Amino acid sequence: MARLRLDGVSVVFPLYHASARSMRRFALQGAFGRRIALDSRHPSVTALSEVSLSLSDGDRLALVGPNGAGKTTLLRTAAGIFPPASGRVTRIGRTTPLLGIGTGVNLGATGLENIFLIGMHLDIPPARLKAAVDEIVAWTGLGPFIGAPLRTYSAGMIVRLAFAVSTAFPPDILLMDEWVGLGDAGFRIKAYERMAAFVNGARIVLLASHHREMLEAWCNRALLLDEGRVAADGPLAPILDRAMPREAGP
Amino acid sequence: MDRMDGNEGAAAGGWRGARADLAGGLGRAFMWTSLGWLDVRQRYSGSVLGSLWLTANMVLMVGCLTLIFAVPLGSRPGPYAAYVTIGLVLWSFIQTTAAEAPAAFVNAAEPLRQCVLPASLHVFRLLWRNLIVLAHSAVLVPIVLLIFGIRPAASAWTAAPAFLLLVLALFFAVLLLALLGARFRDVSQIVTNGLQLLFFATPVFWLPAALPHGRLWLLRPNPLFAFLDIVRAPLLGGAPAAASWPIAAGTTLALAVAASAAYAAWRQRIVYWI
Repeated sequence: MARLRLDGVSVVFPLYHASARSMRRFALQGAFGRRIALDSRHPSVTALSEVSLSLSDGDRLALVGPNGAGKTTLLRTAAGIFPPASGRVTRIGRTTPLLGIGTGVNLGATGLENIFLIGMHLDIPPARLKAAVDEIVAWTGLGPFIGAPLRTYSAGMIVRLAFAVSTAFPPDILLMDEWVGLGDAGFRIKAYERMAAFVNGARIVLLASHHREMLEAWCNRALLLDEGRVAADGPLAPILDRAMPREAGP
Repeated sequence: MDRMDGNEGAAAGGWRGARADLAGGLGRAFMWTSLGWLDVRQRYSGSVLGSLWLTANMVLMVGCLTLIFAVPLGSRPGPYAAYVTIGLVLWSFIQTTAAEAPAAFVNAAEPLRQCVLPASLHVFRLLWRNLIVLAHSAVLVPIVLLIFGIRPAASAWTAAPAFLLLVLALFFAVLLLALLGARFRDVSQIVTNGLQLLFFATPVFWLPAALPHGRLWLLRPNPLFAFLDIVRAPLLGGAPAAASWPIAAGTTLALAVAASAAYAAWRQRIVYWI
């Protein structure tokens, strides 16, 4: 059984030398409003404050909120990338954060080598990677290009490769940031099927997104973040209505 | 804090977390050897000589230094060439490793912020990359010894453990410098400048015998001389100075303690610094 719990988790970013640069100070004040403490001796931004949540098998949580609300920070904290300033994070189960597509890609290496590079950065053991290579190569449909360096690829081909590797190994706990611009239309349909198998293969899913259709398709719960605090946590529809009201249609 | 997620204990702070991180990093040898190779390959991709430039560069350096300095320093060209080859091979290994160290975490900002992996991976990767570079120039050592007919001493095997001690000391030095470099961006400049000075203050291309009588103590506080000495002397048929092994071992121990303590204290801050 997989489990993910956050108990009163706060995350504080130190701002080194922030007070020395008035331009940056001004910009930060705008972005973070009152959460920023610049006048103290150690200027800092509180990115998450007192966030609690508890997820277990079958939970698919939609993470919503305006830009800068702390969605990605929450994913990183849940993954263990940001150690919290206070509070506790408990994870039971293999956790994979997918925060950008293709962390670890190297343009000088071949497609095949990049399968291993991306896989290693997802912390997939080499034996599992080797076993999955054929399936990944076949799915990308890159054919002979798989042996060519990535710098000869189009942007769409790189996305296809990175996507195929990223979605080949469903973890117990999946922490995912918005996936956007997935190649051409044909690829998007193909990608959707693979994504469904991947997401359904995970026991717990946290998905941060601004796309209502996507969240409605994948999630069964929602958490609304506002300025780093939990503004609402509960059933999907009412929270989505609050976070992203449908535009008045025809 | 963490259980059963394949990265056990790594999310914990303090000594336990630092130990789990170092063990986890070491255990992912597949990753840091691949990335290290890729770094070297990429640096020389597209060039005709490729990584053999490293070897060619060393040949040129040794040739020039021997032509210019062998006689003025009161040595014969053969032994001097062997002396300076081993000295330069080791020095360039130490120098590039230490100079790259402060950027180890800074350059890995993306994986450190996106992936759940031990940070020490990036230290192993840096060291591996530099070991590969070292291998390209180290092939010259046996060649030069053969050409000039220099017979290593019976104790030549001690160069091997001496070299391993150097690698161990460098590992802890890189760990420490990588942490400091992540927090204070001036560390990189300080290390580069310091190494430049140390190159002249350490008998890499000059012989300790060139120092005026009674000034040999000048070399004592320089641990780099001790490391050079324990590797180089037995290969050249001599014996290292009596103090060299204790100084090298003591330096390694001090670096190990300092780096481990710093890593235990600040490892979890890295991601906030980069």
